[in-house]
Amino acid sequence: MTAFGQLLPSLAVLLPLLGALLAAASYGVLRGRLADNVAMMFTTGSILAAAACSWLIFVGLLDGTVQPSQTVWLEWLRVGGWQVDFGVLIDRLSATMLIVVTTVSACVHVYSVGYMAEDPSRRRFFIYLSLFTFAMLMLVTAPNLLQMFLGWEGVGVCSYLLINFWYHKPSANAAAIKAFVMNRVADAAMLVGMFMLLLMFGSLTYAEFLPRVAELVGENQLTLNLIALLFFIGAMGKSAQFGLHTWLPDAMEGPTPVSALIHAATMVTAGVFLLCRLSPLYEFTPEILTIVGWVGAITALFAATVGLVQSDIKRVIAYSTCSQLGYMFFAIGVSAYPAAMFHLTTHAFFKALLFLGAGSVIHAAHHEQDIFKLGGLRKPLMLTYVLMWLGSLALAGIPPFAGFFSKDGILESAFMAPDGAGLGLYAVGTLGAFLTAIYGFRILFYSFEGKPHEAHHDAHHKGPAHHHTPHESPWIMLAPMLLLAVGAVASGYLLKPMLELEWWQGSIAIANWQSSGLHNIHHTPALAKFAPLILAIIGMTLAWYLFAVYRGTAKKIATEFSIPYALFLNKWYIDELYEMLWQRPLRVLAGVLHKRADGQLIDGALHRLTAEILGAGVSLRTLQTGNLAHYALAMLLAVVVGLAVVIWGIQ
Amino acid sequence: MLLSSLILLPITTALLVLLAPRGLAKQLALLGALGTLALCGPLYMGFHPNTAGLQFTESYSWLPSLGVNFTLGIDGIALALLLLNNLLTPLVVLASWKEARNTPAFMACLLGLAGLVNGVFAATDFILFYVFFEASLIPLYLLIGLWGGKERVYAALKFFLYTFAGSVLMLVAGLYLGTQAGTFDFTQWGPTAQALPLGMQVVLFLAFLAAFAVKIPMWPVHTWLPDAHVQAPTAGSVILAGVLLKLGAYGLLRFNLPLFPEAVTLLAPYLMWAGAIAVVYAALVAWVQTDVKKLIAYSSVSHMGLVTMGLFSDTETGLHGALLIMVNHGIVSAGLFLVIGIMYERLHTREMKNLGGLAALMPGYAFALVVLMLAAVALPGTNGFVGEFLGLAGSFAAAPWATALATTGVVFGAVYMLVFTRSLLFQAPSRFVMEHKAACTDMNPREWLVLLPLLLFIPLLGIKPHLAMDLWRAPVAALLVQPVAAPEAPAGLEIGAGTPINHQSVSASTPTVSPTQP
Repeated sequence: MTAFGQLLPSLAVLLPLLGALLAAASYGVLRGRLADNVAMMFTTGSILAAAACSWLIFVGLLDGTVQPSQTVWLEWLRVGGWQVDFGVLIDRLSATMLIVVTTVSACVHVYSVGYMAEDPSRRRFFIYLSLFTFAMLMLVTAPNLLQMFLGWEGVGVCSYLLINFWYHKPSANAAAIKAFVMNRVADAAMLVGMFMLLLMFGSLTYAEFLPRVAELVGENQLTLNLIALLFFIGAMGKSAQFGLHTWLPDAMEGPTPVSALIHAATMVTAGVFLLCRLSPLYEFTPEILTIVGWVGAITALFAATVGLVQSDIKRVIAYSTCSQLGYMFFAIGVSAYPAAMFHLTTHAFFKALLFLGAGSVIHAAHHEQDIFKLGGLRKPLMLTYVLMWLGSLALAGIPPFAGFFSKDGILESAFMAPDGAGLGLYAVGTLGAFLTAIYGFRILFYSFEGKPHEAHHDAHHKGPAHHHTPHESPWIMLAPMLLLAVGAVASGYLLKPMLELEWWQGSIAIANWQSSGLHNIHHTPALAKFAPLILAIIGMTLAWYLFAVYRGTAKKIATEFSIPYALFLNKWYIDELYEMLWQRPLRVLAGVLHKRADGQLIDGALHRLTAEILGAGVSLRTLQTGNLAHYALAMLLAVVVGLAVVIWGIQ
Repeated sequence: MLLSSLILLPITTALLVLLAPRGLAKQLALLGALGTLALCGPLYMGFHPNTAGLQFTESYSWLPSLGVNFTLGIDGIALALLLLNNLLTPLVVLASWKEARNTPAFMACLLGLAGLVNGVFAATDFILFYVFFEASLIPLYLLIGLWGGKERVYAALKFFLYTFAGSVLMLVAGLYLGTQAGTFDFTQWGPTAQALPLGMQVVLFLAFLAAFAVKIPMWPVHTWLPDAHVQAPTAGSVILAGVLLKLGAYGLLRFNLPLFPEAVTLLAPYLMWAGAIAVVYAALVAWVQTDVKKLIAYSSVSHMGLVTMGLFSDTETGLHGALLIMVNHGIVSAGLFLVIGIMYERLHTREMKNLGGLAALMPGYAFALVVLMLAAVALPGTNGFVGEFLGLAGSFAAAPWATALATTGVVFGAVYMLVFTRSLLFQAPSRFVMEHKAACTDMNPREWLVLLPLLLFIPLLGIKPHLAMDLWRAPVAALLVQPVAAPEAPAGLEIGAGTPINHQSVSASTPTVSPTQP
């Protein structure tokens, strides 16, 4: 390998940081539009360069000109017999993530040049985006868990900053805090997992502890299970799995390109990536894998039901993301890590496309996000419409679009799992596929079909700068969408070899590959193979009927089934449940600790004590009058005299 | 002579400041503080990091008949804290530059405090240590009592009584040990202390603990701290949080840990629980504060809880973590009190309901505050993380359940810091802020100068913690009660786990699993 080849991984990871730092440095010297343009050039340019490096690495790995490698940059921590270094690990798993992250990030950067053109703080926006990309690349290329955690928390902070981007909005503040805190709950679990790994193996470096996991099997199985569970909880937070998902829909407060990059294509998939990275560990904890599978399946179904009835276009796509992430975990649950990674990849393309399409719609409709107030956008936004169709077909799993290959891989792996262990998952997942088609096309048909809605015209008569008719987005926004559309159409077919374990060249481990469901998907019975597809087509047709042709019917169904409708509409009341279970009790407890424990118990005792010592009626509270200097002097004297007496007393 | 100069230069400057013409006071004070900082240069350069022994030792006869001498000497632990103290002093002098009530006496207090605290870190004679330890109360007492807020007298008295009551017990214990050992050089006390009956060791341990627990402050003797912070002027708060709280932990490292290993083993489980409770308790209480300064004060109690845990974990990892948190907290909490001071100078309020929306008016200020916030929530890459991670990881080996409780502190810590940040920076500007909009100018060069050194240490120590850790590797290794051979292999995980792995017998990985790495 050439010297440049060895430098590529480091360049791919560090260039986005460099771009962000250069753009940030412009605050010292530049102002106004020039500064914005310079910042956009630095950040977008560095991401494009990082994407080029990543593709070189990926293609090089495929044709064998680049070998898997581990580069050490510098020592980070060395203590108590263990050591952690900064570095970069390149294998097929991290290379796959590299191209996903940098490609989507490059598209989003370019798109944002158009989308954020009018925002006065866009320099800050681009710095955050590039910083996020850097953190995400650290996460996926880390050779050890601690550096992974640096990226993991780093993306969390960038997500916080970007959700909070329009910081004057209280709703954005609340959503940002919620996202950070819920992720911290998960991260706390992960931290404990790391402490346990350190205790058991004295190492957090993948190459050191993963080959030794088998040592814990048997006598220490419980510890191993606990470690696996703790890391899964960490993954649940970042990947918005059921129970720790409530931050994701709220995160839609951020600008739409952020939702595409962070809350659809990359950050939220970090949990899936992590579990694949730790597959040698999870392969020894079948019980935990069962939990992973079911949490994934429940999430897939739950999020789909909620996505069916939401009215905010971005929230529907957010629930869709949640649901698709559920599919990935469910694949991991049946040891089909390659299928999970494959779906992660295809999903990144089509979901980013859908979000950017939604952004295009929102942009065209003057920031209207309510699908009931949109409509009739087909003609003015013809290209966006076509691209959204492609994204929705990929999401619904219609051949030959990308989602078909990856979702089928997951469902078939579940169906073929040994001993029928995945049949339940398969059933839930197939039902989910049906719902996916419905909610996916629901937003498409509501936004683009029908008549243009009156309301969003009226609402925007204030500024003369506003256009009064919806308009197609500029090419700087459409071009990245076109690129993602290529991915949404073709990535499934092109990357199909990812479903083979051999393709991963040892970066993913499966204990019993020969008997695993994924290995045997070619033997899936035809009915099981085509059921999800047939249901998806039925779902599409139903969506067309309900949301494009006879819109009244949907309302009738909603009133007919008012209880499930209310349940779905209110997101299964989970926010309310958490408010009741956690927030309120903890707040009450905090108040009690403050007022009663600190105020009355401890300070009360102190006041009584001083009153006892200093004589009745005098207490610390009442001892506040008088000349302060006297007290000071008295005390100084007391110290000195006391000391002298004691010392000479001994003598 | 370096160490005695570090003590005498600031104290002399303090006296000169009192005598000098009023107009020259602050310039003189800054000069003295910078001079003291400059003395740290040769101290740092001349320090040999690979030994646990004392360096730069000085000894002068004081009360020879009693075995009391003016002896000074430092190891890496003391050096790190000395550097911190002398870095913060010029910063607080500069931060108080425009303080309306700033008088020569105010500046003299700051300088005097710096010299006395240097004395605490440098003293190796118990009586000398005690004198410095107690005398350092006085300048801070004056700072709070004379230049504090409305409730300053109550706060100053509470602070004084708490700490004084604790340290009297230490004095008795120290005098007892000194007479037993025939010397007041506490570095020689080890054999004497360990020869005492265990019951006596426990009593003495507790007597020392009384002084240091109040100072740290450990739960439940922490209630003086929020009051002291709220009432103290900015400079007082910065030094209190940045340096004075470290005196407690430093005392534990100097006396409790090396002198009474058996008592440590006996009492560590309880003290670690107290630390874990402090972490969560104080974080929760911080969450419901409406005065932003009180919120940060409680956050100090929370962080110090983790220091306590690390110190008593008796693991190398935990001790390194505790020391790192001490240094990091000195930097970050100092920075946070400074940013609160900058805001208070403009708005003269610290009530959350009056604040908000400053990010739009003061973007540079918002940047500094967010960086400090990220370090306070221990974001990896900032200095806060390495300390917290090592502290928790070390504690986990010793007390898994207490550490699991303390780990929830990372959640609550995020909650109160994010609430804090929102209340100052985000949302639409409050009505109060809008009324004082003219005062809300972004930070001036002087204020940047005060904050920048602290902000630079945040990524620096976050990425290269060895800059600090290498100073104290040797003394930390010497502090472990049970010296452990690397890798650290503690006696087992109590989460129903059975025995840990024998690190020597690495079996080949099972053939069914494909290797992760070639």
